Amino acid sequence: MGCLENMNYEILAKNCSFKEARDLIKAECSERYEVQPGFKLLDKPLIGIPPIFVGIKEEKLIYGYTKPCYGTFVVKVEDADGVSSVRKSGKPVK
Amino acid sequence: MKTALILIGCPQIPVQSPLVLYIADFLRDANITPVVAANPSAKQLVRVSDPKGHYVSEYRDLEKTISEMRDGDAAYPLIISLVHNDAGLSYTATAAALAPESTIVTLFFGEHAYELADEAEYQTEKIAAPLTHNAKGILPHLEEVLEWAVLKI
Repeated sequence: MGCLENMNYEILAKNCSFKEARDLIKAECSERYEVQPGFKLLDKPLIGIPPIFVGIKEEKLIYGYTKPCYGTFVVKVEDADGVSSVRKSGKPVK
Repeated sequence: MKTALILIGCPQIPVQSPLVLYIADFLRDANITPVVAANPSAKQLVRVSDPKGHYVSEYRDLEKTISEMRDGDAAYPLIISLVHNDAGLSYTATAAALAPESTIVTLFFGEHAYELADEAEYQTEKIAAPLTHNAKGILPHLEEVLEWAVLKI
């Protein structure tokens, strides 16, 4: 586990609204899960407007990462622990 | 003494800092300790406006506060959130989900105040006005809601 900055990650979208981020995750990932606000990934609680979706594609996580002044980024991160945690605790959604 | 959390985000809209001080002053008069949770730049603006801590004596980091609420290490019976963008709405929706027992007041301001207020689906008392520089018009409504809110906790 660690900070996003220390991981191998890619930004798929930036400065978007949370709804736009959710729509992108839905479009990008056929395997996706609903998690509760505050669900922890890389030791940080997820910020978002329910329903919060986390996608898994190529064994990488795709989710929204919100910052107060910059809106929401959609990131794709190599995080094997996170993938396991989401599969275990998230609610699968179509 | 009870505490209330004032949740603020990006300080891009000038009216945010004076609103924080106004709300903090109201809470102090009601014997409630105001705690401001903010990102560093928003916190700095309020600190500079209140250097001796007459209004706000306690500041918290926004991310850390959400994390503590999530882990059950912090709880606030009253949360007053100032929202002017989508990120602010996301943070407040998260806080509302983590604190279902809390009374939540959301003040939507800035250019998109009404649209953001319409999007908010969590349990909250809403105040919305497209303020950017002048808070005067909203103060009577704000005070009315705060009077109700402090009686609830």
